[in-house]
Amino acid sequence: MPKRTDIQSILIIGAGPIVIGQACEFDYSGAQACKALKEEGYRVILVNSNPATIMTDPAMADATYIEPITWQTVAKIIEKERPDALLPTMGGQTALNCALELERHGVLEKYKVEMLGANADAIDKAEDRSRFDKAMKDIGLACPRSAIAHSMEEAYEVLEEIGFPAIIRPSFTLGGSGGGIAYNREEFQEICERGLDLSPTKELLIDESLLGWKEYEMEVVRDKNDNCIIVCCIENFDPMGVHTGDAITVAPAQTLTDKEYQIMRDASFAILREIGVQASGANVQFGQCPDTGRLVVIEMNPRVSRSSALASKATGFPIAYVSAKLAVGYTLDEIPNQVVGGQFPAAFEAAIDYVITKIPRFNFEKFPAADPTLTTQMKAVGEVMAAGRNFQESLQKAVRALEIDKYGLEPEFDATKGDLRQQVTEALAAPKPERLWVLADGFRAGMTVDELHALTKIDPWYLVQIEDLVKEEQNVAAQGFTALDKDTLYGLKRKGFSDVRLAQLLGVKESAVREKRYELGVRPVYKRVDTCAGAFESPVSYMYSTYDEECEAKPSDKRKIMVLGGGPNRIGQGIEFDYCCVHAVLAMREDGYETIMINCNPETVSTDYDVSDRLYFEPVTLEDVLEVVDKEKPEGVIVQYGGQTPLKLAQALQAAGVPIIGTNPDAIDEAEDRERFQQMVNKLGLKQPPNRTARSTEEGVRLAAEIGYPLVVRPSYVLGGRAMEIVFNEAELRSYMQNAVSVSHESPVLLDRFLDDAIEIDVDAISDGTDVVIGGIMEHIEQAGVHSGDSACSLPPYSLQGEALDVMREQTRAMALELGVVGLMNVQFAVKGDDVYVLEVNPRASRTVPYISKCIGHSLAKIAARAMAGVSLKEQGFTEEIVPKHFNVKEAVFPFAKFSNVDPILGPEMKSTGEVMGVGETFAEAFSKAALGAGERFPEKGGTVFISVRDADKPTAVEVAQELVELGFKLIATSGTAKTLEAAGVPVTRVNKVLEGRPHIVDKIKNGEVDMIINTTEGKQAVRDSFTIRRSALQGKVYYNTTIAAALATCQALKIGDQTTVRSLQEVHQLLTQ
Amino acid sequence: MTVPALLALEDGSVFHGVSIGASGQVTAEVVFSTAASGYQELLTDPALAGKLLSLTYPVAGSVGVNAEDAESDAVAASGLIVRELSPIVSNWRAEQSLPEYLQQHGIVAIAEIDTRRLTRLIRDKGRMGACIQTGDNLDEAAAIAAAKQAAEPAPWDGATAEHLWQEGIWHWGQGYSQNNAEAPKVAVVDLGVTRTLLRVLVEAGANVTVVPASVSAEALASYQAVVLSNGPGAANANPALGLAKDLLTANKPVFGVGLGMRLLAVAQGAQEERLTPAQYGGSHPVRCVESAKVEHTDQRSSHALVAASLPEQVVVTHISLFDQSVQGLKWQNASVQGFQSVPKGSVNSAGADELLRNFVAALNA
Repeated sequence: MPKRTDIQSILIIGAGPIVIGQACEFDYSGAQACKALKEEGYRVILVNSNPATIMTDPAMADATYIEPITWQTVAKIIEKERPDALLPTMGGQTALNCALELERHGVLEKYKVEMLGANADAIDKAEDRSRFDKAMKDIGLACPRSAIAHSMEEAYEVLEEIGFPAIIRPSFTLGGSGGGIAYNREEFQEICERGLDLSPTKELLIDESLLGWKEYEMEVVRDKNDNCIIVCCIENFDPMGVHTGDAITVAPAQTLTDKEYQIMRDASFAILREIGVQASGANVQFGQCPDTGRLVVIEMNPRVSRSSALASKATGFPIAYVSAKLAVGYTLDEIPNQVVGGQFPAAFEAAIDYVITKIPRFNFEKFPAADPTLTTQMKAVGEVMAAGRNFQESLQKAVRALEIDKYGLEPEFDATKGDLRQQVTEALAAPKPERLWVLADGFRAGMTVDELHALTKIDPWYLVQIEDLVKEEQNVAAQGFTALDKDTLYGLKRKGFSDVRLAQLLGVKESAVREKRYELGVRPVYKRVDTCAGAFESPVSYMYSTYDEECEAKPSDKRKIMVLGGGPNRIGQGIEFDYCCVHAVLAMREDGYETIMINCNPETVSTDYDVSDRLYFEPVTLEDVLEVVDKEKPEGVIVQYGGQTPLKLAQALQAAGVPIIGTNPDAIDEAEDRERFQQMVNKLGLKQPPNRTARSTEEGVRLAAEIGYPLVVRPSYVLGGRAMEIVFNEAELRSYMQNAVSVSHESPVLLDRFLDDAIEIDVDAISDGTDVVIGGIMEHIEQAGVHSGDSACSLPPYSLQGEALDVMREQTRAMALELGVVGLMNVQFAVKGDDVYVLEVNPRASRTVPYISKCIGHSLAKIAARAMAGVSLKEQGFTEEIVPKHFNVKEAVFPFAKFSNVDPILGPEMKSTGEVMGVGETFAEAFSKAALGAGERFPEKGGTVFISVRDADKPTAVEVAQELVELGFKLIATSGTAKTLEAAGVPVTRVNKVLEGRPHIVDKIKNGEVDMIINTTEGKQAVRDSFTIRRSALQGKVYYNTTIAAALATCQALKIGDQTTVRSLQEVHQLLTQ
Repeated sequence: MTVPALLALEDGSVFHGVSIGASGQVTAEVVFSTAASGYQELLTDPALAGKLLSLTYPVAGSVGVNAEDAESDAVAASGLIVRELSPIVSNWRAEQSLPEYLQQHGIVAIAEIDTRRLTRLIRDKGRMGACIQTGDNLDEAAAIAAAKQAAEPAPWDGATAEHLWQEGIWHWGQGYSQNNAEAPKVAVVDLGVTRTLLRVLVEAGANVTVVPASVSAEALASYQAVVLSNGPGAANANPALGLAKDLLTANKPVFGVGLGMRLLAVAQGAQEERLTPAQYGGSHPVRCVESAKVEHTDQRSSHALVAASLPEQVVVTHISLFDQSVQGLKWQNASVQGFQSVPKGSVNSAGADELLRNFVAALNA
């Protein structure tokens, strides 16, 4: 049956900001859904607060709302747009929850909006643990022994039945957040309390522990005719107990016989039918006892998910695209499978002839206080995928794709420092991110597969292969470089060994291994991902490398441009860079080039085989990129869009003769090298904060005295503010130099005078080498000292005006020309009084490019890509800065709630995972929307605000306090701040500091007597003292500001309350041209 | 130590690899299967008799082999071709490793070749004779010459005497269900029968007897219904053609699976054609003409019926979405039907499983 004609317009809800558990996979699915529905002629209305997404590009939908995803806001959009239907299955848990709220509040009924894909009952049945358990029993399937609790009392009753260890999961939370495994009563109490608090329905599921069981995930699609298919079966390397988002996973299943697979397949279909998934992709997770084969159903998600994105990339079957078509009435047999050129429809189960490995990427180095133990609550911030013709190749390719400075199974422990076996045994007591490498060390220590299996419960099938890799490493090291012959090297490459790892083992340079490989003719071939294991010809160029006989790459002789992607998401390098890469590809495609993409992140839009003409799903490392370049021989390679990943390779690529287009990689060095940069600043007559480079602690202390405290200190060449701190005195500096970083002659520490209280500004600009056009000037809301990625910012600036802005424009232009920038450039300035300081210059795409593009209605990434390809800005007609009259505020989103014991204070090291944007007629409206989109909930008027600020902020604090009182808030403050406020005549009640006796401020927060917190600090001790305030605010979901500037902005937002208007991006952009 | 091996094709292509089975030389048509699981079931399925089986999934042997999963007593396939052998067996049901099993059954097998290149050659060139040689004295020219002589498989030499079949489908925690002696008697003609087919029938509520292919229609008079099993090769070369013709006039329910279905149609003048490529995969989509539902089937056939040649009294009930081949038939005015693909052997699979369940249910009605 064809598509439905009784509906004309469809609202799609996106997933909002990138958070742990919900990342750019939902941009991929949402973008696919938009495309699938638009090509059917439906009017597509989209809401997503995340401006860094491709799906919010104005061309993707007919009306795009970058607005907070709350049911109230979406209700306003529904009221305005009157969609016939709502597709809630594309935006993760956020969209499902929002759709359920809209249903509960009668909005859908009032405006006659039909839910497509999965209805409210199906969503509820899948999410509500007790209903789900009953449904499974009804169809003869087993769930883990479990029960529901709504209070601590009930939880203890459940514990009686289940015993330790117990798995606790709160209902309706993101990525299983708030869950955990309890081995004792203390842990049980802690996890249950947290879970009850986090669950919007105050509900916990307490499960029998299936620790050590095998875990599988089935990606299923069902249409309205009850046609069901399994797209992919994913097997977890890490047994049950580790969240599947934190687990290494493999596809297809490796250790299932066909009988077991068929049982799981049948069960999956039965579950979709029973839950009532009408026309959508969904996934089902199973646990299997490795000794008896007992199978239990863990959970099912009636929507596309992170694993469906992975399955789509792993098989070439676009689950989200197909799901969107099914939602509007098509059946699987009516949708052509494009990967085989439509030779047969999507009603088939993909056959794959390679092994896929996914490895999660963690960022615990950003949160030293967080416990890196992997549990049922997801903690990974990104992931990579790799394909190989066996598990070893696939695994080792994925390892080097991670960009964690590992190129294989490098030793984790130093065998000379203590007993290796003991170190390994201790490290394997609980699953941690480095477990894979520890296992290899286990084999190095002479441990057996049985011993390591007993410690980890990882299937011997995987352990044996790790053991074999370790043996191969030992053999190759023993044999030596000169003895390396063609057969040995070919054999090693077939097991996935990288040139870098072989070079380490052989004590030679990577280039020596590469040259040897070329000399012996050991080169990869490229195979296609075609959904059918080669049984049909595929016109789609979706490829991966392997070492085998036949190469299917068949490169063309067209003019081609290659774009290097950004690898796995991590804090500091996320979806924004993928957005830029996708736009580069789109622009070059529009201009008639054949486009080639290299990337390894399965969550992204850039790794959609449809985006570029040719997709190489490969690690973005020197070895892998050089091989693709050699095969394709592109006319130009774009390295400035994928963040640090390709930039790190730029100079080596250039040295190898790769034609890099745009800014010369040497300019990157000039901008990053302290001395070269200083020469440029001096030459142009610009100002920098006083700074020095220290190569030892003593030198540091001496130099610090020259420029004065406070100082921003950091190791040279850092990413995302890694290990960057502000020190206020010599003791803190010494502690930093000795503990936080190991300073040496080779790795010096940079000291910059910290411009306290300065306003920080970000400028993005495009240059074609002759002309420079400002893309946008963004004023940070948090003052200098907070990492630019963590600070909220406003475009246009909301407080700075006039001359300072022009000074920055002129300085940006001068630096772009001096550096020879062709493409994008980002500059960070600090403005203190009348002085403008240059803090940093990055001659590359920055994190703010997509945000600015949404603000000004032009894609900076596309314009810059064209500039790199030789089309001048004049030729493109982009010659003037566009300054919007409306306000746009970008706000950062943080993962603090996922990590116990982590201080949510902001500083020079970036910690946010994502961002949202608010659009408003005034700054206050835009800021208010941005905060709402970021998940903040402003206090109700009449509530109590706690104020405690450092001395420097006291004058402004008075201003803030007066505003709050006028707005009807009651104030409480600790002695110092209270004294200041009293002196200024602001009514305030004193409250004890934590050290001053009880009841103190933390008691009040925990008792729900505080509705908002303004807490600014300086110096390590003060930060430590106030830690519990911030942490309990976070736990109690109390709105808090840790900078005075943010508090000021909050006052403005509080003034307008919820008087906000929804505006589509298309409407806003129309205003720009008027 | 590893023993070298080679695979030669009739078009002159040669692949060098290592031996992972018995030593020697074997010549037959090479076919591929895209199923990622179930290599033991494929190897022991009589429909693979006289074929060299190449697996597109690159790693084989991970779950070893076990007695329960064999589809017949023998390894039916003539040889096995894989890209790589798993370095370890890991499954709670495994009893033996794949190479041990191959050696025990005298099956020649080769690994470490680019099986995707082989798949693409078969896909593009059609029927491909092939020869696997193992040992130190490999002779490419002789192997290519042999490959050109690859013969069609002989009809399956199955059951020699009729016998009762006892087992139904395996259930976790309960084991196999058992044959019910009170249930309607169904004869299954062994043209290359698989245990899965027999188990599905028992599970559906039939009292199953396996009878040899040489049986006469009269000898089946005491059975309430007859199932003609799948098997290797073409129908027009199969001696059971006469039996099929007689059964069509015996006025009793008949179900033909794969070869069995084609025998019934060919007996009434229909023609067969070779499938290019021959189909031995899982998840082959088949559409039911009446309901428009799509079922994902396990194919085990080198031939299909030519739709235009079908006798008048026959209606096409199912069509392949891969190659539009005839996948299901129903005889009007007779309770005779057929399905090209084989059952998967689970209690709620659609396709052949469901049709067979309905077939038995009708007998019980």
